[in-house]
Formats: sequence, C-alpha cells, structure tokens
Amino acid sequence: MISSNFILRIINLSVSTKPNKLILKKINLECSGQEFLVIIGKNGQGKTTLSLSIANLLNKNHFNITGQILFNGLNILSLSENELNLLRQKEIGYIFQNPFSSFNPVKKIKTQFEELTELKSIPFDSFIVLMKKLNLEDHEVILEKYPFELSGGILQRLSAVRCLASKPSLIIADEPTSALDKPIANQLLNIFNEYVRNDKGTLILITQDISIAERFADRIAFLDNGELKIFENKKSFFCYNENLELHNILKSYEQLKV
Amino acid sequence: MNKHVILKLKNISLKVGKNQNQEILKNINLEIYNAEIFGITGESGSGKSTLAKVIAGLERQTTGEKFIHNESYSGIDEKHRIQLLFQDYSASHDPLQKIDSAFNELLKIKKVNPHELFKRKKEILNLVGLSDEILGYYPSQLSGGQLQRLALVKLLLLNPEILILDEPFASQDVVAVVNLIKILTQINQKFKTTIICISHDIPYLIKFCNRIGVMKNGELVDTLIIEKINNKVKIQNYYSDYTSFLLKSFEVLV
Repeated sequence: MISSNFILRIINLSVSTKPNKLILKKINLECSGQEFLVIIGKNGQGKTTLSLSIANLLNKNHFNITGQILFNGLNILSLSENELNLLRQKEIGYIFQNPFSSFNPVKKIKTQFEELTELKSIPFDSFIVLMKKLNLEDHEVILEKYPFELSGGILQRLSAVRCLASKPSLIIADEPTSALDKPIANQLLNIFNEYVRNDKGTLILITQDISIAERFADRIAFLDNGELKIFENKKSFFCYNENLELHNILKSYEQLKV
Repeated sequence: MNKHVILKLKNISLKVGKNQNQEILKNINLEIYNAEIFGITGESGSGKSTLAKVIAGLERQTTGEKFIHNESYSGIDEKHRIQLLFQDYSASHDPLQKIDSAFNELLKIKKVNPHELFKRKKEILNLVGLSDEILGYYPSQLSGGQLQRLALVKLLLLNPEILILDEPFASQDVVAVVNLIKILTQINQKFKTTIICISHDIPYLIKFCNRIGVMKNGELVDTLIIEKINNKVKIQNYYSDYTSFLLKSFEVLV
C-alpha cells in the first residue's frame, strides 16, 4: 500500500540549458514512500533530465535549475556536495541509462564492489545473490573482468546489482532494461517489485515501455515536451483520453498487443 | 502465397576464433518463399544479425551453401537483389551530401534510367510518408525516424527482391513501430518484395510476419507459422521448450 507521507516532492522544477533552452517546465510531482512510480514519454521529452535532477546530478555550469526538490523534507538542490554524497551513499540509488559509463573503467568489477562493502558495510555475498538472480551464474569470471570486457547487457545488470545491494530508500532507474532480453528484463522488474513491496523501498522508473507501467506501476507520470502532462494512478491513466499525444501512444500500444 | 523458394540456405555454419573454436552459426537450413515476410528472433548473441549478414553476403560462412532462385551465390549478390538495412541507419548516409545527390549515385551503381528513377523515387517517398522537400536536406538536419525511412527508400530504389532489416524497431516508440510495420507491409504488397526482419520483439514480428525463425546459440530451433483468422492470431509449430519460454516472457503465451 502507498503510505500518505511523501518521500519526495518536486515543486515547480524548471530546468534550462545555459543558452536558455527550456527542457523541463514547472514540474510538480510527489512520490510516496513504498511507491512504484513510472515516468513515461517519447524520446527527447525530458525524462532523463528529470531523473538526473532528482538526484541533483545535473552539471550546474551547463544548466539553470529553479524550484525545489524535497527529499524527506530536505531540499536537495540547496545541499552542499558533501551532504549530497552522503545522501547518495545511504539514501538515493541511481541506475544510469548508459551501462558503459556506469563503472570505473580502470578497476575490476570485484574491486569496485569490494569498495562498496567497506563504504556502505554491505556483505559481499549480497552482490553474489543478486547476480545469481539475474542469470549471471558465472559470477566468479565476471567479477574478475574490467568493464570494457563485458557486454552492455551484463553491465546493465551489474549496475542494478550494485544499486540494489546497498538497499537505498529511493532508487531512480533510467531505462534499466533497455539492453536486456525479455526474460532477464522480467526477472529484474520482479526484483524491483519485491524491493518496493517487501523491502519497503521506493522506486522511480523511467521507460518508454508502456507494458512495464501497466504491469507494475502504482502511479504513472507522462512527460511531453518538457511538461508533466498527466500524473495519475494506473487505472485512471489508462482511461485518460484528454491528451492527444497520449491517446496516440496508447492506441499504438494496444494495436501492437498480440 | 506463392510457394516458390527465393532463398535457400543449406547447412550454413560459421566458425570464428583461433582454431575456429567458436561456432556462431550451427548448421542452418532454411527456405524462404517468394514475397513472404520472414521474422528472425532470439536473445542477444544468438546469431540473428550474423545470419542476416551471411544472407546479404557481408559475412562468409565457413561451410554450407546459399542459393537465390536456385543459383548458388557466395559473396554479395552482384545483381543487387538482396539489400540490408543496418541497425545503425544513421551511418547509411553520407554526412557531406544532400539526400538527393546521394540518391543520384545509385544511377551509377545500377544502370537505372533517370526518368524511371525519378518516378520511382516519388512513388517510394510517398509510400514511406515523406515529402519531396526532404531531398534537399543534409542528413544532420533530419530526425532519426526520417533517416531510417530514407535509408529504406535508398535500398528500395535498387528494386531488391529480398529486403533484410536488422532490428528496425530498436529504441523506437510504439507510434513509430506501428507506422514502420504499416510501411513494410505496404512494400511487401506493392512490390512483392520478400522481407526478412530481425527483431527481439516477438510481438511486433507476430503482427506482420508469415513465419518467424527462432534462434538460440547459433541454431535455428523453431520456425513458427503465424496464421491470422478473423483478426485472431494463431501461432503454430513451436516445438522447443525454449520457444515457449520466449513466447511466455512476452506474454504471448500464458
């Protein structure tokens, strides 16, 4: 069940690039604790910019950011870099869209995971358990590799493993299944679902794949041209017919069902 | 459907590595009929793209033979009867040439009469839903979807008998997918082009293919037959556990 307390509140968030191109326009969004929130939208509508700004990962030299992002009442946008790092270590996990740039290129995967076991006092075994759940059976071989020796699909799974193992209270996952085959994508989505339903986590998942929203979401946000056009619970979302763009998308989605 | 076999693969294997110890394709036997739409699916690394490259002649098989209209061919078909649309279609365009001038180079490759090319160009652009104006642009001025359709136009100008598409739906939104499926179906009906389409999205293939080959670890494990009766889809011929596992993962089978 969704509890009524907000873990995250975004108030009037606008983001523009420095030569003044508006990417996000006055976004208002809130996310309750233990919620599975899915943000959908076509390419180039601002999904990734929104998720990066939630973790305050946008480079301030290139972007103008206005508004507030409250995480448990704390405005993320006004925190110092140290406070932010602490928050990202303990509370907010992020799974990046590009798995190839998610790891340190000059260290073996094992070394990178070991660093985390010290930093966050995670038992090393929790990495292995998650790797096995995601069909990375030959974990001993994989752990000895450098990131460039691994495929996009494996790196994407490792990136999810790294994030889930540290059990943050909020996970932001940007297209986390884009490089995965369907059976493994389903396994990962089920793990995300358990994280929300059993481990009391909160998940914000960004995707183009409407079937993910249909299967797992509590609430769905629809971004179009930098604006949050619709923010509804799942049932109302799929009945919403006042937005032409969404109507076209849902119509195509229905047509493609077998 | 006309059951004339346009393309035949006989015992195709492809091995790579130091002592040819890695088998990418294992003894593939396949007959593709004239004017059918054939899908190839499978997980990453199953060999689907490699098979497409072998058919197009961009990759040489280690053993086995391939035939087009019953004549054996080895490398690229010299009559340009087989064309391949790459997954990275943006690389199919010359960044320094306007679209039209790149199209005109086709005159040199295949001796098409300029009037015929002009007529055909109009017809095909119309079919994929692009206007003539787009010919005056440089590739960098166009969107990904437009570039993909233009790459398709370029291949169709060569009047291929077999058109191969490698993951044409990758990273496209559903609206674009529906549109592309419509275009491919029209190409198939209008020009009687045989289409081979590679995709890991089985539901999309089921929408417009007559048959779908399922690959696993370099082997062709099943060839599904898709029948549509009263708008209801019937999938036949799945024998392996692997295929039903894949179909279930897409919720095509329950």
